[in-house]
Amino acid sequence: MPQGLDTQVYETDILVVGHGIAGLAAAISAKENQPSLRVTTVDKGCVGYAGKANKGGGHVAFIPEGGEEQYVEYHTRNLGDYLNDQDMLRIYANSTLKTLGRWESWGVKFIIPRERALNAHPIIPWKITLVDLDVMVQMGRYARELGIKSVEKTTIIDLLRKGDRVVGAIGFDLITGNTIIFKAKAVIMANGNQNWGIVPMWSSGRGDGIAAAYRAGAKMRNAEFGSFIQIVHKDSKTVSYGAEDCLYNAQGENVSTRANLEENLRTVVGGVDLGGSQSVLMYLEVRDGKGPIYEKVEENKLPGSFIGRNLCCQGTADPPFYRPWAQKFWDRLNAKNRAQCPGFDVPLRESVPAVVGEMSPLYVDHNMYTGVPGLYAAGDICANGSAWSGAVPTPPGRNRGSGLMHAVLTAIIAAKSACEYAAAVSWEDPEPDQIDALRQRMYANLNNRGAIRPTDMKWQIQNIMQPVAYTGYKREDRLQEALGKVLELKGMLPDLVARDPHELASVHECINTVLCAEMFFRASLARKESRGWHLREDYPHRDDKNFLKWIVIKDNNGEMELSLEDVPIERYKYKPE
Amino acid sequence: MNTIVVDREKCVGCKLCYRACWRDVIRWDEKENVPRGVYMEDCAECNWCEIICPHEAITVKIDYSRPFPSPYIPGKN
Ligand SMILES: Cc1cc2nc3c(=O)[nH]c(=O)nc-3n(C[C@H](O)[C@H](O)[C@H](O)COP(=O)(O)OP(=O)(O)OC[C@H]3O[C@@H](n4cnc5c(N)ncnc54)[C@H](O)[C@@H]3O)c2cc1C
Repeated sequence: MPQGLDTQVYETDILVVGHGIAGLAAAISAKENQPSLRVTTVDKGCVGYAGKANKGGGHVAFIPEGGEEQYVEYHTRNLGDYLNDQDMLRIYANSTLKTLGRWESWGVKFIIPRERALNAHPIIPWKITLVDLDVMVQMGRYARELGIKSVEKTTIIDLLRKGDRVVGAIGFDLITGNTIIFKAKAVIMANGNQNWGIVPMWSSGRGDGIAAAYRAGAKMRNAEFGSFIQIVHKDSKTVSYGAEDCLYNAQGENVSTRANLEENLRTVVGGVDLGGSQSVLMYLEVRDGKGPIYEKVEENKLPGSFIGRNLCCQGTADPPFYRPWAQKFWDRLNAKNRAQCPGFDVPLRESVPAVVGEMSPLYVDHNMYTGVPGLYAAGDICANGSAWSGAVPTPPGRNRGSGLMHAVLTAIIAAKSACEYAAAVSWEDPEPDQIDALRQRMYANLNNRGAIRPTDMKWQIQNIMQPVAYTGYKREDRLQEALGKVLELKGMLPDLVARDPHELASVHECINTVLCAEMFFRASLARKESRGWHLREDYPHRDDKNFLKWIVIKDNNGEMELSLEDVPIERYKYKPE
Repeated sequence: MNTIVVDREKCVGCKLCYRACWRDVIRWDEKENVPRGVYMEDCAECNWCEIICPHEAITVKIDYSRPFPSPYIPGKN
């Protein structure tokens, strides 16, 4: 351990890693369930601002009473592509109204009353209400009133164990570099999923929690679905809402109307996602020499439309939908782009698919239990690992507004489980040898002799994760090539160097991102079919005989071990036709 | 790289911009009692520091020339 650094130890009954929306919701629920328990959150950021919930969205999906089963069937057949845990999806569908009620009781204001919520889908009963972007400030205030303690500007690197049981976590203070140790009876991981940093607005989750849980023995599931893609303007790198409907290639041909994809892919895509499938279409055009791809601005009818103004703040929202913070957020970004971005005001704006990620594979059961004693999860980190949504990156899982709802719902469940566990077990201290070893690992790259800066490594990772040929439209040879590059980076990790605690946190983000990338490509190679969002050029059809299975990943003495787990389809209500 | 400009005349030292910066880009200069953009390579240009500032004392200047990785085919376009 470097000289001059101190160690600070906190004791708490329940530790929540991350105080984004899932973390705060879990902490609040735990404290409400058992006020006598000490509940502590820890995050790299500050309460009220950390996490994704205030980064521009604020759409909250719910299923109106009576529509739950129709939703489960539609989602299973059209979005989950039968890879979803239908029981978990039903729990979600049956709980959204109850969740809204509890969430509201924490002082959160919903902009549209439930009875006047917008219909979000032409076929199924699926409604959207809105929160403003100060939602986290509202929840933070309530958490403080309840007596929840929050440790800010601290990154958690690893989980502490006694035998198989998780009994705390270790990390360091981003400002001082001091070691921070938490001793806890139960830990809830709510520190987000893996976004590859290409679209930075999504980058609160960089795989730290996934990797820490994996190293502590937790399983992963559905890692191959971590390639959520948005269309962005190449000049501003900002999402181009509505562009998917008016894309033209360099020869002036409208490619949006080309029924999205090649005939053989259309059956497997089945309406899973417009942005994702559109990105493959864009790739095919460019591959065939017809790129680049442009948005024909005058044909984009979304900005200024009812949905554009009121849900996406592209234009000024009408009074019933007006959200002061969201409006400010988007007006500011749009005004900057308009005033400062070269080439903003042109009739054809080059648009590219940008790989966001949303890889969220931490395996949990219906109680949000990871299978490692003492370890639970909530929110984005386990959104694919719970398998509620199936063969799509999630959230949003192609359900606009399900990210926030899923985060709050799973937090409520995780808190209940963790409280019950914490009430039943006695204190155990982490093993001192383990603390020493983890501390060594944690500081290994600080002022070492390495020559690679974390920013350079991040750029290299992004150049592997972004090309649609690797992550969006997959093929054996290309996947092998990408995996080879990832393994090459893995070999370079000891040469990363950090000059201060902030950079050390970035080093760990690199280490964890490389681990997640390896999971993504290994799982993508193992799934030799196309299903939902996972599109293989060499296996263009869904193969229910061999792949109605989850790909499960586990650490086996430092090696990534993959296995297949049957989806219990015979037990489920909806089966492939 | 993006840059942060602070108008010291307007800044009252409330630290809201520092708290709102979830990427740890902004650090607080305790001696001068002003925010500093220290780790600009991590700025996500969410503009939260600007919109939370009650006095319009801080501005993020976005660098639109920053590179974007090959969108489609590795090493190309
Ligand atoms: C631009 C944008 C728009 C969106 N729009 C919508 C929408 O309209 N509707 C919707 O439902 N969903 C939307 N989403 C998704 C939604 O915001 C997320 O699903 C949800 O906020 C996830 O919450 P979370 O708490 O699980 O994860 P996060 O919000 O990612 O929180 C994780 C927290 O963990 C912290 N953390 C990470 N690593 C560590 C570590 N090592 N140590 C300590 N702390 C750590 C992070 O700082 C962060 O605060 C949107 C997301 C984005 C980015």
